[in-house]
Amino acid sequence: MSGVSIQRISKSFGQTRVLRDVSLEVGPREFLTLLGPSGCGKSTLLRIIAGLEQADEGSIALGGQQVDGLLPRQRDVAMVFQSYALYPYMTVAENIGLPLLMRRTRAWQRLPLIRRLHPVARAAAGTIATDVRRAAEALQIAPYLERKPSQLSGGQRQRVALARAMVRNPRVFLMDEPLSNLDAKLRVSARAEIADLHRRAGVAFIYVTHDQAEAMTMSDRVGLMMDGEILQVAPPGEIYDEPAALRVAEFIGSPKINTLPGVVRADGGVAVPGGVLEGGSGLAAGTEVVAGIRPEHWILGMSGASGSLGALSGTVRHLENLGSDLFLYAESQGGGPLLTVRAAPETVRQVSPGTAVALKPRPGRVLLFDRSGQRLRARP
Amino acid sequence: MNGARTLPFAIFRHVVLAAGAVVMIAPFIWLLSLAVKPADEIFTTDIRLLPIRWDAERNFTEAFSKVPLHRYLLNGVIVTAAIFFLQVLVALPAAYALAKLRFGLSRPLFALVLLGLLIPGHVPAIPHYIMLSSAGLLNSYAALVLPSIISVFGIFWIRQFFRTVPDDLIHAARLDGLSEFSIVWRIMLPAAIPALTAFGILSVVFHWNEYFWPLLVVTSPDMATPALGTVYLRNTEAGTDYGPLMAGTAIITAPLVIAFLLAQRRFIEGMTLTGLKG
Ligand SMILES: Nc1ncnc2c1ncn2[C@@H]1O[C@H](COP(=O)(O)OP(=O)(O)O)[C@@H](O)[C@H]1O
Ligand SMILES: [Mg+2]
Repeated sequence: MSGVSIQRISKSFGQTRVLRDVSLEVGPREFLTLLGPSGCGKSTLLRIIAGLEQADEGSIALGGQQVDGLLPRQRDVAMVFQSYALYPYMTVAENIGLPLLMRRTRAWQRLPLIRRLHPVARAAAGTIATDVRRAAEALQIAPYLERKPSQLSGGQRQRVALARAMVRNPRVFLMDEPLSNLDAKLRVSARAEIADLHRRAGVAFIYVTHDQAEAMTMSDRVGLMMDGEILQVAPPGEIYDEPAALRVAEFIGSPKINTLPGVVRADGGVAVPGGVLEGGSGLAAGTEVVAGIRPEHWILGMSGASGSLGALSGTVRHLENLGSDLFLYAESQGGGPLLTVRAAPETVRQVSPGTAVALKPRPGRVLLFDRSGQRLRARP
Repeated sequence: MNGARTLPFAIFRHVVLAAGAVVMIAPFIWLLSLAVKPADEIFTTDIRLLPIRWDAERNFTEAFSKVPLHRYLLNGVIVTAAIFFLQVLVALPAAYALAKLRFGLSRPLFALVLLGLLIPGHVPAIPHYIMLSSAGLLNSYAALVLPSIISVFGIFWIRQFFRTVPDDLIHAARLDGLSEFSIVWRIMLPAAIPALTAFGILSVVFHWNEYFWPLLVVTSPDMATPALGTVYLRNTEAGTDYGPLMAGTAIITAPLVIAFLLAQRRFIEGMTLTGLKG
């Protein structure tokens, strides 16, 4: 039984198609991240899953149950918003407790006087207070229960939003860029916290972000979304090493993957401007391709003399030393945009702008795509 | 800018403003002055603000004994409070629907609200009168209150304010299990307090001072509102007795002036709300 099953969802706003035929299966305890540039439809998809927005076509099942006609509150999903969406006029405790209050009491029991006097309403208030406190303690916000959201820091507000989502044990968590309003340091520690929350909750998480570091570090699988389509769904390592399309390869990885236009030769080499790369064996000679090589997949040689099979020669134009990594930007003799090369920091003693270098991809690390951007599987 | 240019301008500006203020305030000062003078000092030719002989006590007791002033004040409180309460009851859900819900008739309905803003309040007076008359409700609180409970201005004003409330807040509330009505009362109402305060002040001031409509539907003094009460006071034989008349007028005006002085900051806040974020 699947946690979330999304079948062929399409959605347009006026003339703009925001989601095109999106299908996705999320396991019952899976942490799935939807990664994509802003405006690609991630939030719209989450809102459709939550029932806040109506899809034009397609259907959604949660825990095996078709939910297309159900109101948001009947779907038993919790959502954490980028803006946190805390109720500004309620205290932290009231914010966290509201979903419980609405589920555990009837409307008449929430009327001002009855709330205080009726035994059933008072008993409910007691259990709610206990659960709110437990959630607050789990997220270390118990000291702030009586404050208003405006009296909290960004990180504390974000925890209140998490507490409000987890307090009612929903069957699916939806998170829409919950960390993007935090500063860089806090974001890293919050990642661990959300991963921990996922382990304890033991239900499906769909996490939306445009930050690939978040996607790569937290998820069981990553779904890469662009222009309203899901291009690939795969575990983080796989989506990095075996991208299904050029757009995926270009979006994931920083600095960006190097791309060179080329043609497959009869001997299985790929002729690119300024040299020949390995990796085209099995493809028809004359096939036009785009070769992608990640910055860390170059073997850097110091001699300027090259031209041998499987090597490019070039000149270093620019260096970026990050301490842990050194990035070289080299101009290929064949022209084209600068090639990005990751090298060991020690290399800095041997190169400077103007140094002539030879570049060769690591064996088996050239990714080939056809001219429309689809991955070509060329393994012998 | 140098001081030589700004100082004369500042003086000029303040002189103009002060002159304006004097023109506006003078009648009220004069009213208060007359309310504490004995009759023989009112028609003297020399202008003096303070009386030679204070006669405030007689004027005020006289005003209360000639007509049931306290009754007018009570009616004013009941009618303005009921109108405001019902206006909010109608305007909040309507404004929420127009600001935040997507439905087919949303645009035409909002256009009707805007159209309603353009129609002078006196136009529906006769139809309202006929409806109340055939319902047998003339000369009652219902007659004073019912025609005013739908305020298109209130709907418009609160709708504009609701547009600034982030959608995410409403989405969160829907997921937390709130019905649309719960959202209006639990989430939107607290957010709208500043807008409601401003609207409330406008509404209360307008209906406290309203003269035309009570004149049409009220036939007995015990239903009279404050503005109508002043006229009753003038129509008694005390009407030529300016001391008590001015004393009564002062009492009827006082609640609003005091309320304004107490809530001045809120009033100005409310009026400048357009620049405020949700
Ligand atoms: N309610 C709406 N009305 C019209 N267009 C919308 C609406 N919501 C989103 N869009 C458009 O749909 C596209 C996708 O938006 P969104 O799902 O928010 O993207 P993301 O979350 O990936 O940044 C954007 O181009 C946005 O302008
Ligand atoms: Mg978004």
